[in-house]
Amino acid sequence: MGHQRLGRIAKSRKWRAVVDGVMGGGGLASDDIGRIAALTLDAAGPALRNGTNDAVLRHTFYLLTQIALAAREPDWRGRLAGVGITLSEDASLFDLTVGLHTAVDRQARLAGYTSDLGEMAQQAAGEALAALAGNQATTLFGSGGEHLQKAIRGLSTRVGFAELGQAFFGRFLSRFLGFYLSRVTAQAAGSSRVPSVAAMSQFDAALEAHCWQSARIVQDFCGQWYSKTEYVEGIDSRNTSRFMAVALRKLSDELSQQRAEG
Amino acid sequence: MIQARLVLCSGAEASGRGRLARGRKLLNLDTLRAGGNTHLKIENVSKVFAKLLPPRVVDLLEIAAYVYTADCEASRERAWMDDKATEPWSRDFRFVVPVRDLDFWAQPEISHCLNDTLSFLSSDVFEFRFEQLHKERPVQPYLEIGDVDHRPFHKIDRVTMFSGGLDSFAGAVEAAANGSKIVAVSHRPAPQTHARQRNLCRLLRERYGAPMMHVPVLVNKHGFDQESTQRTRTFLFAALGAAVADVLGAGGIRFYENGVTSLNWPLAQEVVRSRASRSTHPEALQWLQEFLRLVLARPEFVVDNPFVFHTKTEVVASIAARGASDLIQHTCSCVHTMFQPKTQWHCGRCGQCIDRRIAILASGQGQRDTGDDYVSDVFAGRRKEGYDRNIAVNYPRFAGELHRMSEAEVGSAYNAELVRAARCFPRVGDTAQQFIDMHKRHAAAVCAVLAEQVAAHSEDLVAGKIDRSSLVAMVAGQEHFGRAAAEPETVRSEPVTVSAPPAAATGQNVFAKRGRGWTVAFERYGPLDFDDLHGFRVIGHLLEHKRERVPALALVVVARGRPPSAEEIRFSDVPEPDPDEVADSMEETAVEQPGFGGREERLDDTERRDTARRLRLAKQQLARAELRGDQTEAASASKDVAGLAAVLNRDTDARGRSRALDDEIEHARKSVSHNITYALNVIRGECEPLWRHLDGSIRKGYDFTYAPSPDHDWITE
Repeated sequence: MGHQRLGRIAKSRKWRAVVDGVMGGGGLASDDIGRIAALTLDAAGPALRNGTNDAVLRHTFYLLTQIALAAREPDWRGRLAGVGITLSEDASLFDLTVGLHTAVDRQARLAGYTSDLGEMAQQAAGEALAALAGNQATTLFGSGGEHLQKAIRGLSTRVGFAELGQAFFGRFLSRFLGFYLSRVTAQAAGSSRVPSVAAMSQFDAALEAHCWQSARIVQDFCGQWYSKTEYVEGIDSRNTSRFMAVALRKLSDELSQQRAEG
Repeated sequence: MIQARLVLCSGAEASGRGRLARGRKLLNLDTLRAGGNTHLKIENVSKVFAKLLPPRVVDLLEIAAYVYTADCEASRERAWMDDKATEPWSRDFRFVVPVRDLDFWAQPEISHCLNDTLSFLSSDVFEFRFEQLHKERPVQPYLEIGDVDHRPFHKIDRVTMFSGGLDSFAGAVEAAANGSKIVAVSHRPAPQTHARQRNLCRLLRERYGAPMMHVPVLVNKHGFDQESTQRTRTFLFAALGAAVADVLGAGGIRFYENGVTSLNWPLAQEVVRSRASRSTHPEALQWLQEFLRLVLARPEFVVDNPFVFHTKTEVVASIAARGASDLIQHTCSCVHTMFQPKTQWHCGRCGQCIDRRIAILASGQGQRDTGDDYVSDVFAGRRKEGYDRNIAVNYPRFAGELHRMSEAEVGSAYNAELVRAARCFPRVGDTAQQFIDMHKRHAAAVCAVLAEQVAAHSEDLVAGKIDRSSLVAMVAGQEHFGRAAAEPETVRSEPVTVSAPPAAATGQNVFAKRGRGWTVAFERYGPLDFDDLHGFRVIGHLLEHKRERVPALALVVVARGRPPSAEEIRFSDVPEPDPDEVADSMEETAVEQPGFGGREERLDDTERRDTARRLRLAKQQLARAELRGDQTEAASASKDVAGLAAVLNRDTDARGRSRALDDEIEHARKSVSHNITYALNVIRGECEPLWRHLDGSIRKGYDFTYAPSPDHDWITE
């Protein structure tokens, strides 16, 4: 392995609560995951709210909408080229994700900076697209050309995009919370709550499942916004930005509410 | 936040730069003045070749030295921002650099290419303002070349970047064994490192008689040690190599780094952007190549890494295959080179030490790298809180998760990382698959070594004698052992699951055929309706017969829509196991590796190829040992040959082909596996938690078992 910088969590009252939540006595029960996720979001909230101003995050989601919309068009490769995604005739699903990441990286270079949130969004978008479309396209590396367009077309309807939106936000939230919590669980490794490396993996899997479930709150919202906005005014960078702000707030509120109910 | 820097270089004045300096911390760096604070000994390059470097190349070396020094000066360790929610990482540098070839450096495309290269390496923001240089560095007298004849090295293929670690050593061994001429360039940050590099070169010359020249270049930055990550170090290293290559007319520079290190996928979710070093990442090498082609005005100049598709285990094996395994002990992989005693070169705690030790053990070279060389035992040593412990849990966790993932899951979870590496090669899809395959091989090797280590330390683990902070205790979860006797009631062995209030309607798990389709509810999800797929029939049958081993042949019948007869169930003649045994074996799968753990399981194609390769290597090692008359090594190699041959013979026929089981059973296994996988993919699209549960609980093979842990009850009618 190459060098990797593993850091520590910041010191503050809110982060102390997160650490206590993970390291507290007794085994880690099912309900604890939701509580820990909410505590983490409480402490990391300002960073997430800043995300609405992040050009890379915004552009990433905008590209997801454009990929879905392009799949409706007879000349879908032409439309994708218009947003900087170049595909060959026999492109596979993996080639499509190459196009997505290359377009996002180019945008980041133009913007002159990269950010942690932007990177997490980019990773979440690639993962969501590969996983969801992979269900329809059979494999990540094969079944190119028209088969790929057909698979993506399944995500271009209101229902399909709602699903893609949930997958994106669920994975983004999971990566965002994992950015902080991975430091805490590593610190807690060997304790009764996280007794082994395998328990850390189980914790991560449970967190991912919890985030995926929490992202249901934005599922319908994604589908409705996508369908209505494209019909009324066309999806662009500006209205994508406004949508992201609302969607991230909804996600945040959902976790807080779960904590209150818990 | 990290304050932005204005870096004034080579005596550039601060006066009249009010706007440039606003809000920035001023940093003056000088390599020209005697007693300046950035030390770049260009004569290390020029003296060897008795040739003055071109002015533009001298500019390049100075720019690289300034960037590296500024990188080391600006610490990333600052208080978190935004009410302690944002960890500072990126920095903002503005350089003013007087240069000799201003017309070249002032071109916008040069600045853009330089900025993009450095930004990719470091995730920092760079801006360069170039000015005309009015004073020259003091003339440094050339030393006599002595008896080093550099003429044979002119127009060599590549200049080798030589750090003295395992990978660059393996590269040098490969080149030497092939009879290539080697010019090895080293960045010389400390005297200890230099001595080791020099010694390795001497040993290689002696072993292979290869023409070899070592060019160590001293660059240090006295007083600027605030930031240890040094992500731009590779830029300096490449610039030094390019300067030597330019003098020699070489075709390019070559890094030797195994692919897993080169791609350096994040071990944990906190590792975002350049928190994982990108020093030899394919995209970094591509940026460097583009930039150096512009600087040297040589469009054919190449920066490459021939080991990019090899794991570290394979790299170590290649050293052994070329008869240099006894020299492994002279290499050093540890990052803490400056702080180790002379007799022990490895700390045993850093990620590089873990990686080295595991690769050496996995390649069967353990006797060449004794544990004595490590200050702390990699597996059983105590680890301090912080980085030492974090790396010890994240390294095996990453490998374990990779090992469990399918190719599609790796392609999805690491999609961005995979794309960034694969797009640098012509056949992107094929390359990506090669990278996935390489990571799977790496993960399998790591898991196999960890399983061996857990077994080797098992008695001490059970007795609670192993330090709880050690790597092996973290992997085995020693907390269970330590507490089991004293306070068993406090230990909850069930894994963490998703927050799960009662199921939507009934509070029960349902997987039942209703009408023409299937109705499914799981924990709080559902009810969901699915089509009557073959896979649902199979899964429904397995849920109904929880913890029973159902033969694949019987499930083929189930998939067709009828229950299997008693004869079909008996067909495979599999004895009914103890349910607890099944559950135990399910839990063991996390660490047990087919083909390595000693179970009498058939090898799959990859394992068979791997075993055959290891057998070939062991035979070569045996032949060389016998040739040298090394009885100890010959005995060890002979043992390896016998063991590997036995494994392979058990699994292949006289013509070396797999002993296929009865075709019909094999066909049934594949068919049922396919049915289940397809159905699980459908389920995943609707209910990821259920997919996760079933995927982790259904064991496939020539018979199939649903063995959930923790237990789940299902309504199946």
